[in-house]
Parts: sequence; C-alpha cells; structure tokens
Amino acid sequence: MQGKSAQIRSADRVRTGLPRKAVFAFAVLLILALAACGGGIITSPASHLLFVSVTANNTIAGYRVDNNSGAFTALTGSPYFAGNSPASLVLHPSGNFLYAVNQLGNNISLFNVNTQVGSITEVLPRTPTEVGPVSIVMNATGTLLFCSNVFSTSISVYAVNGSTGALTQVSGSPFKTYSQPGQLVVTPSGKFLYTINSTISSIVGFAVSSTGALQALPVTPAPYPPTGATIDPQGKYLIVINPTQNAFTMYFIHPSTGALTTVPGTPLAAGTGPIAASVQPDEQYVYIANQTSNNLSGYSIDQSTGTPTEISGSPFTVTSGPLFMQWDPNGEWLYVGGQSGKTVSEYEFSADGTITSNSQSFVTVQAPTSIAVGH
Amino acid sequence: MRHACLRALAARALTGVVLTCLTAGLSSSAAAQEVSKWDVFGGYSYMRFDSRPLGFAGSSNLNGWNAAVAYNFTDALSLAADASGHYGNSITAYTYSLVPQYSYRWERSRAFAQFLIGKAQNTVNIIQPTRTGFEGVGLALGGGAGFDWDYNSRYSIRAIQVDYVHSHTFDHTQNDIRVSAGLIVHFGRSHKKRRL
Repeated sequence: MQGKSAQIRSADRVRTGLPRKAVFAFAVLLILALAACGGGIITSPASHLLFVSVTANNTIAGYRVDNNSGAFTALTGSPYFAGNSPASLVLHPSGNFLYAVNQLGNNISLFNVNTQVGSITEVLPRTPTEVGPVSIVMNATGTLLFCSNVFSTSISVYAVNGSTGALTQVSGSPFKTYSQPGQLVVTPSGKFLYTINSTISSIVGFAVSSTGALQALPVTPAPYPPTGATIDPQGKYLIVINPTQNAFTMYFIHPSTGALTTVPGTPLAAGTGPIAASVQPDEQYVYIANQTSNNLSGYSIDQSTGTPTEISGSPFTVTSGPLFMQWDPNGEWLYVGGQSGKTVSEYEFSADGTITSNSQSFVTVQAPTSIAVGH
Repeated sequence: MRHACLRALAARALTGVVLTCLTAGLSSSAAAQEVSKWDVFGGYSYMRFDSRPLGFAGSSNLNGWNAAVAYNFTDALSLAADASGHYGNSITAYTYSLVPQYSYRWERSRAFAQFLIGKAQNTVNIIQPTRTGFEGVGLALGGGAGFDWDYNSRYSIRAIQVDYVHSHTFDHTQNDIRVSAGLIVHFGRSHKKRRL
C-alpha cells in the first residue's frame, strides 16, 4: 500500500512537477509582495483637514476636505470631546498639533493630530491660562502661541515644543495690557502682535522678541469700537470690524515698526452686523461677514493705494448668521461658519471676486464658533 | 525608488508564475477523480481597505488571514462559510460571509468564482478619553475568483483568490479588494470529477 502511494506521488511529480514548484513559488512571492505593502495608508495628497469648535457642546468637529471636489468627509470619532467651552482653534503649521482655548476652563487643550487617519487625541494635562482666555493665535513658524485673557487683562505667551507640541510659558508672561483684550492677530513675520480692544476703542500692538517677550507699541485709537480683525497673508494690512457703524477699517502695517496707518477710503460701509473679515490669499479681495444680513460684502483692493472698492454682485448671500471665515489652502474655497444656521458652508471663489455656493456644507450640533484649516 | 523596482520585479515574477500555473493546470491530462465533500481553507490574506470614506488620507494596506469551510454539493456547486481578519496601523477589518461557489475543475486543479454575502465588522483604532476604538458593523457583499492546485488527494494549495468586498459601515460605503492564498485540506469523498 505504501509502495503504491509512493508510486502515485512519484507519478504526480513527473506529471505536474513544474506546476507544483510554480505554485509554491507563486504563493511565496504573493505573500512577500503583499506583506511588503505593510500596514500603512496609501496617502493621497489631494485633501486637507478642517476642525471646528462647537463651544456650547464642548466638542471639536473634524472633517477631511477633498481638494478637487471640496467634499466634506467626517472624521471617524468626530465630534471629539474637548475642554470646557472651546472657543478658538489654532492648527500648528506642521499640521501635527491642534490647540483649543477653553474659555470656562481657563486653559488650553493640546491635541495630537493623526494626519493620515485624521483623528485628534488630547494630550493631558491642559495648559493653564489666566482668567477668561478668549483668543489664541500662533506665529507662522509655529514657535510661539499667544492667548488673550479678558478678565485678567493680560496676554499669555507660550513657547511651542516643535516635537511634542507642548506649551511652556515664556519668561515675563503673562504680559499686562489694557482692559478686556479681545481677538489677537499676528503678522506673518511674527514680529508684531495686535489685540482688538473695544472697551478703549483701540488697537493695541506689541513687538514680539525672538524669545516671545512682548513690548507695547503706541496704542492706535479706532474711529469706532473695533471687534473682529484679520491680517492679510502678506502682512500688509490689518482689517478691523466696526460693528456699531456697520463698517470696517483697514490699516497699513509698517513692516519695521508695526505702526498702523489708516488706508485711504476707510472706514467703509459693510452690511448689517459685520463680525469678521478675511483677505483672499491672492491679496486681490477682502470680504466682510455680515451676521445680521446673512451675507458677505466683497471688495477689491487697489494694489497701489490699498483702498477697497465694493465689487459687482456684492453682497453675496451665505449661510445664516455668518460668524467666521477661513480660506482653503489653495485659496479656491471659502469656509463660512453660520451661528444661527449651525452649519459650515463652502463657497467657491472666482477670479473676479465673486463668491458662489459650492453646495458643500456640514451641520454641527450647536453653533460653530471657530475654525482651523490644515494644509 | 528601490521599493518601486522590487515591486515591479515581483509583479513580473508573479505574472510569469500565474501563467505557468494556469497553462499547466489546464493542460493536465483528464482522468476521473473524486471531489471531496468538505474543504477547509486557511491562509494569508491582504486587503486594500477603502478608508477614505472614514476620513483617512487614503486607502489602507491591511494584512491578515482568511479561512473558509466549503461543502461541495456537486463537483461544480459549493457553499462556503468564509471569515477573514485584516489588521493595519489604525484599522481592523473582519468579514463573515456565506459564499456560494461555482467551480471548473481539471484533473489537478480548480478555478472558481464566488459570491459573498455577510457581515463586515470594521474598527478604527483611535484612542479617545472615553474609548479606544470606533466599531462599525454592516452588510458585506462581494464577489471574486480563485485558483486551487491539488498537491495530493488530501491537500491543495490556493494559489490565489481575489475578491471585491463592498461593505457599509460607519454610515459609509467601502469598496475593498481582498487577496488570499493558503492551504486547503479535503475531507470525505462524494463526487466524481467531470472529464474534460
């Protein structure tokens, strides 16, 4: 019986010796080839991450945006738990760290961002601030983070660990300022920091040293109480909202001294209830979000004088109760957060400055309050 | 660059071996043999998981296993219970399926086509304060084909099995590709192979 079996096996080898070896070789090669693929992610660069704070819900919503279509895809696990009243978000230039200032927690949350998966994971403990932190901003190189503390009348400055994202308060921080400092903006060069102070109807500037120490600049009185502000990507203009007058004011920023000079033709009328401003990355247009009239006013910027002129078709209807705006990394789409609509909607930018709906939006559980967009 | 070259070489080698296998299998001399009643398969499996709908930057490469128990009603028609598990850095994907198969047999080999219907159970491994992962369970549908080569009357080698798996988890649709290879053990004898 054994001999017969051996004969059959021998015959098999004669008849099918090549396939047997070939199949073994094939199986081995297949396994090696597929195992070589590893357990990683085959990255497509055509997307970026977007995070929105939902203050009333103590969460942060995360989405991936397709660079080609603009379509939003919710990140798995979103919305993520955050601190007590996350109100202002900042994404580190590396894209690896997300910061949220917790208004009622008097601290700042650090989240590690998994750029491949898109998820965020909070790193505890949170970094303490002074009382009533309302606004955070980071310099372009990601080395310093600034936080305005409205009740402590101060600005906290933190050095950022580029590897871990951890915050360490710099020497001399917190720096005292005028009553109730509001929104912060920093120039792209990182040399100057401004806080909008409506209680003294002024813009308070600081020179920022390489260590993060703040040196006060002469206060710039505003014609009307200012609230929201923005600085253009090249750091030429500071644009301030004047809600009591339904207007906005533009200032030239002196590149060496940080001194502010009013741009001719401003203050200029906007819509009803202006609340936020944003300059398109190509520096050709500035947009003002009008919260009460539910639209955006668009202005072309004269490239020699800086004077804004309202463009044809403005204002552009947007989501209900616009509160904030942010451009996508390529300057093609504008994300607008609607407070009363509880939505973030996407609008397409045309070369003539026209803003039209891209029919892409997502809804948040409560009103979205701030946005951070990755690259 | 080095990886690209290695993969290109591997692809060429694989192509050559597949053609050799198929040619040899198809040209085997016809002889009546019995088909086993039960086939038990187990082996390595790779999955190209469609993780973009879950917010990932791209698709994910997952490695794991695939196992199945098949009952051969005839030499052509079978029904298998199939399970697979695939693991990556941030994703774990399981499928549990009933798999009707249609086989085309030669003396020492078999080509088959199959249809999958069952359950997909996918987990995204994200550490959050309250949990360490997010699990999505949903319907899995798919289809594929494969090629087996009989080592002897007891054992066969599944040279390759390629399946498309369409699953719906986390309220999103995933379109995955699964490639498996491994060993088959035969139990029982029931049917005569058709002469070709």
